[in-house]
Amino acid sequence: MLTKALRPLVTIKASPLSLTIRPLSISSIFFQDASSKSKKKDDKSLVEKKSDEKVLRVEDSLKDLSSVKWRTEYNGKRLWPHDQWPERDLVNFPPYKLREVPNSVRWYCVPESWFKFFYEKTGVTGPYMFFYGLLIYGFSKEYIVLWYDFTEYLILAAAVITVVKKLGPTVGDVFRGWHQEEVDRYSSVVSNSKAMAGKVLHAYEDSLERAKSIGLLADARKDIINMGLEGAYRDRMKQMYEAVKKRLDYQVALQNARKDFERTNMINWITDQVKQSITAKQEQDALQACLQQLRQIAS
Amino acid sequence: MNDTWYSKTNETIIPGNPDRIAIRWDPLQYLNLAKYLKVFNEYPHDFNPRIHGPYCPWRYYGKRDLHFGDVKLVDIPAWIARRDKTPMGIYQGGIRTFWKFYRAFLDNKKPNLIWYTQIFAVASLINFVFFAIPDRKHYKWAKYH
Repeated sequence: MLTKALRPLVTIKASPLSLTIRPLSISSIFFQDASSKSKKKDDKSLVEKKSDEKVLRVEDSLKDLSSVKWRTEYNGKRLWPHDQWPERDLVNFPPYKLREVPNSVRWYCVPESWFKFFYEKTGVTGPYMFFYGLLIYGFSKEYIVLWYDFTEYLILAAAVITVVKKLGPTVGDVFRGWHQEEVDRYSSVVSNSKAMAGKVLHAYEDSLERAKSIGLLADARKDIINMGLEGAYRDRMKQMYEAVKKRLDYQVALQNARKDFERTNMINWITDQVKQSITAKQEQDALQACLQQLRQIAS
Repeated sequence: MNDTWYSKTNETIIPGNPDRIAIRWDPLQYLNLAKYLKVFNEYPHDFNPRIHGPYCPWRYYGKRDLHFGDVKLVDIPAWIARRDKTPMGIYQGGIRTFWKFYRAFLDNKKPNLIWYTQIFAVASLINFVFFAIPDRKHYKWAKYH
């Protein structure tokens, strides 16, 4: 009440609404409900913040999801559930991508972008001349005082640079190996399951192929048995043939033998009879006839 | 336990639920410090997730302006005038600088210790310029350079 006269002097000219009622005490800061209605809300951002938002309760979030707003239309066109972001600017604001390597630096502390920036203006040696020039400026103006401890700093720099150059990559690889081991503990579970699944699938495929070839095996066994049967059949055929041939040959030989015996017997009998019938006189006459013929031929 | 840890009539009511806690005095009404920190924990004014997608703290979501390397020496005062020099703007710029540094050197698959050497170099420079040079002024070899 006493400060009523000073209120117009206290207003800030740069405020957008110069008719705002400024709070008189700091109680409005510490008590939430005080003068919260009189404050204007400049909510241009889409982050909907309420000054007196309640604590989220479990059953609220389970009961209804009406706070999630899905749009069905945009600029007169139908919006589908999978395409709720037609205004997304992917050219100027591309999505997040994890980088592979950090920015490169020279002399372990000067980034490459500075060298690229000065390349058009000063050429390649620009930044080098700048930093060496700074060093020489420091020496000449005695900002870097050449006192007796300077040798230590020189040797320290040389030692540090040598050690870092020699052991740096090794140490980095060791740490990266430890990190990669830890990562592999988690990712190996899934990749091992995948590998096992692949092996199992390979085995299943092999067994399916083998299943196809079981028919061929059965056919082969059938063929073997059939070939054996055929061999046995042919053997028995041969036996039969030989048996029949043997019997027929016997019959033929028997008949031949009978005929032969009859013939020989007949011939012997006939010749014997004829020889018996030949008298001594017929022999003499036959001899005389042969002698006469011989005399005729000889003369 | 004589009673189940969840309600027999309503399974969704679990311990720690404000509905079950019959408390008279809620400290959050009187000692809400989060609302002071809320100012620092909000998205920038020009951020729109429908256009920009997920929030990247290293990006500036306002109107695009020239890079400091592309601006001409004549236009530097005008360029500085266009910048947001409010405390909130400076704070957000600082946050963006940090996240740019983080993204440049720490947010990758093969990090190294260059981030450490850079901080070391800057700290060494500050120490040299503001503390070591005054200490060594007594040991100068010449008075006039």
